[in-house]
Amino acid sequence: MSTLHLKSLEIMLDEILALGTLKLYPMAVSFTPNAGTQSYFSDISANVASGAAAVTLTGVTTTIDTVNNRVELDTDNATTGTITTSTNKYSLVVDTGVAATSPILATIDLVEGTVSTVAGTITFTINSEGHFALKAA
Amino acid sequence: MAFPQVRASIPSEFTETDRSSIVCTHPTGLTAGDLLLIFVGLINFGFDVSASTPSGFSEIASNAGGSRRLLYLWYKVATAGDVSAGSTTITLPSGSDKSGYATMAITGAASGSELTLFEQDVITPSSDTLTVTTAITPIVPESLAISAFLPVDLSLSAVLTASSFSLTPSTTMIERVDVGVRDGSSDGGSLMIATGEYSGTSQITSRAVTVSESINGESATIFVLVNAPVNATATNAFFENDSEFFSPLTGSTQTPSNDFREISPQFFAASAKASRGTNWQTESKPSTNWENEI
Repeated sequence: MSTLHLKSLEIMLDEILALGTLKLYPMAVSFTPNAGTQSYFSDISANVASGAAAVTLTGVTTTIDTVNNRVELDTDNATTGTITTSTNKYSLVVDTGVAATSPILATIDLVEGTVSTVAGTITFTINSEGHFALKAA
Repeated sequence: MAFPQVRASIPSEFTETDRSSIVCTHPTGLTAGDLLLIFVGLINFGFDVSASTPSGFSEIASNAGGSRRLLYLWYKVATAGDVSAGSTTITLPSGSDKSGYATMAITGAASGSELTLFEQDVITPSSDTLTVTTAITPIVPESLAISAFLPVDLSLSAVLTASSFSLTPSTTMIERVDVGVRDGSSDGGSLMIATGEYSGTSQITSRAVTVSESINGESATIFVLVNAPVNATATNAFFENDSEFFSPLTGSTQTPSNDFREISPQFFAASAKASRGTNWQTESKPSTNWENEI
């Protein structure tokens, strides 16, 4: 059976994270992610949800899950500042300090669909497994 | 989340003094960041009147009777300067026969989106109840509704007072301001303001106030909603990718097998050069015969 090996997957993910600071961007409801054409933050910066700003993620960890045969990326829960906005997804970006070199890791849907604030905050409760996982096989 | 709240102190007055300005005292406890509201009512049955917008405020105005009965609402987010000033002066370029004001400070409004919905209307009730059709749909689940009326009449038996306020859908309205005047010719009017905590985002279809006697004068009204902040919570949809592997070509004619090879070692030819050695010969010398001594 073919397989990728978990430690290498973890190392690859860690290497990308080491490029900068992992940030969460609430994205506009109208934004459609494209895995091929959107590579760096400069490719999606115009699609950040109106009124929203980046949230720096803390507690960034990569974990090998041998039971599920995957590597998981997890962080602490995140809360935005006071904003007026609507969003239904967020993008994870490794901020290198330059938008054109800050890779987009993933764009992830919200379970609740579209959430809105009026001069309020959005608290993202991250799934207990994390944001996403890379499967070995 | 919580409803925006009105600070307890609500200075107000209504006088029959002809004046060119009104000094509107700020509410006690006004704090920078509060939503500061100034209501001014002007009544004149003889000539048009007006008021100038104070610096830094936004205006909502409703006029009746050819600009002779005006109800103004100015609002802004209070600054430290407003707190220290203690009052705002409203200029009346044409003077006024009867004028009054009320100031209100509101806490807990949505910062940057404090007051986004309002209506101003003029009605002629011919009744002791002033009912206004409204079509406002709140944008947040919790709003503070503020309903203001400036009822006037030329033949009042006494100073008009408010007895009850209402809103549809039903909302408990609390009277905040009820000040008025009546002159010797029975002309007069009053400034009446009530607030209510409105839940939900159903459209508000009407608002009303019942006053102490039936009136026939054109009366100005203003209705606003102050928005509460709205927070949101969200959970990510955990995403797990699928690894994809490319299958090797297989088939009956392409059964892989190893091709055993034997590799012969390759040696590099060594280079060598021989040289003839020196043929040493012993020189011919006479030999010595040693003999033992006797």
